[in-house]
Amino acid sequence: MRSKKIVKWGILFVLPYLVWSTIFWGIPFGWSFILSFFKWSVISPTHSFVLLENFITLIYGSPIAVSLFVMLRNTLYFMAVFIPIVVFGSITFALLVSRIKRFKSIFIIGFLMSYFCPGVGYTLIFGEFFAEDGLFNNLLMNMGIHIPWLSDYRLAMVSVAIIVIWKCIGYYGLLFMAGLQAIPPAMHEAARIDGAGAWTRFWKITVPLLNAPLVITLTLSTGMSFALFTEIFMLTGGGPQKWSHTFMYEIYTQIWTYGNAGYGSAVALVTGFIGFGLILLIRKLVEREVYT
Amino acid sequence: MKKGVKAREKYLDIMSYILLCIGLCIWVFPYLWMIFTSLKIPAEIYARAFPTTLTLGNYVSISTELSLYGFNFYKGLLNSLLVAGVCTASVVLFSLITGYALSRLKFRGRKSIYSFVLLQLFFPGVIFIIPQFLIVIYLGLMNTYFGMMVTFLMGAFGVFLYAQFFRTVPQDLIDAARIDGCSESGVLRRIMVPLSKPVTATVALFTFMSVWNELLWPLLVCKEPGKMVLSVMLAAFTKGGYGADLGVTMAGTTILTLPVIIIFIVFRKYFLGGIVMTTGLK
Repeated sequence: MRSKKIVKWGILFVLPYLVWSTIFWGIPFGWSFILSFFKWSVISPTHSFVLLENFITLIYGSPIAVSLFVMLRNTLYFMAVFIPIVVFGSITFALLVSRIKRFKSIFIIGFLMSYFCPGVGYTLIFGEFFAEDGLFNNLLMNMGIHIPWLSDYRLAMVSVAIIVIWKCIGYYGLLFMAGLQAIPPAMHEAARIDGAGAWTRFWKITVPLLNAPLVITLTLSTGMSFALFTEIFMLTGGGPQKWSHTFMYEIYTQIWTYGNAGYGSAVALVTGFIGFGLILLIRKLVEREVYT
Repeated sequence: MKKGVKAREKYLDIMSYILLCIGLCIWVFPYLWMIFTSLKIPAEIYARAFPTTLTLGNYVSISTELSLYGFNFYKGLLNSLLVAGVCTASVVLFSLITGYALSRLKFRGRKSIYSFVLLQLFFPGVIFIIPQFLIVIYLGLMNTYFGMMVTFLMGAFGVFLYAQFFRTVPQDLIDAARIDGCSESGVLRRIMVPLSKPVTATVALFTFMSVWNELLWPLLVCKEPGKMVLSVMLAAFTKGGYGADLGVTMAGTTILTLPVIIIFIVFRKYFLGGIVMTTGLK
């Protein structure tokens, strides 16, 4: 009798989550595939089956749709600036904090805060820094330099990357710190006795043993690059000349400005596949079995 | 020789502190700049780095300035609190009972439901937005509070954390309570809820933050100024080219940002714990 009662409770407890998951996870999941083969308008109830037209438009672009290759170029450009700097910066941060003995938590909290700061908030602040007559240019003016942070097509994505680096270094640094703690001190000691210098020990012991946090960081930062929205929406609007037009911004534009749910869904699917594929590829290339 | 090593170690320690202090100043500077700018009088905004006279005038003018364009700023603050608060309560409640059932109660389909939850964690969110948006439209939830909340009311992340935690509770404890005549809901209320307080704090804080910080979803769902949350209102106002005064904009930014920073500093323990828990699964 008791176990029957437990069964009843069990199902009752899981039911709300199952219902919600069906409506807002299961149905959207299946529907996103169906939608991408339709011309489906948000505003009017008309929709028609168009087979692969959405995907073809995505490849070639159209007056109202940015080509896949432009968005991919922008995202890869962003990643090429963002990822090396954020990995180098967070490892440095982790090494420095692991080294010191006192006030560790002050530094961790100070750097980590930015990760939880509202996107709209920090983007408004950095927007003022990067403005034509903003703080950075005012400081540089004394040296006679003027940098068009957001209005130059080559620099816009770099400026956005600077903001996201500021946001992420504390968080990724914390992951590397956990990795550093997991390295047994005896390994360094043994290598030292064998005559290995600090430089050799860093490259032969520390770096290989940081593989796990490195893989997590690369996964998170790739995912973040493909989900870039708030900074673009607030600062560049995809410009100049579409050089900061990201996948997420395109999805937003399609649905908000043009009401193209079908086309937007095709973009979202391709974004999901490319992002996921890239993460799998990175993992395959970087991930190693590490024995301590 | 030993003395030389010691001196070098000390030198490296001092260098580490210096580098970290410089880094910390750079990292914290944006917040300080934001707060100082919001407290400046208009004449000093561009002229000086640090204000000589402090004023709360910008916090008053933001309300009057935004009302010219049909926004009610402090209503936006309440809307944000409402949306984030309800979502947090809902996520905590449903994650708790679902996680409990999936880890401690035996019923058919339990294992497959848990696998489903794990599966949900690994899917990129981007593919769900548009169909979710259509569902909200077809259910008539556009421009409603419920529409802004509905996709955040539950989540696999919370269920996973609770399930992982409840798994570690010893069975003897539950059996003892049952023998003493504790009902199934009694076990949950008297034993599981008090034990899982740290998980509850982590789930609640992460949910509150992510809903409070969210821009895209409330931007899509709500176009009615009266119901807009703070992040959308600030974005709409500053992007709308209304020529907002810098001091006023930063007053708004401070009201959006500072509560989050304070919550983070006060509950830092749970944030650090949460990061450890979440990265364990990736």
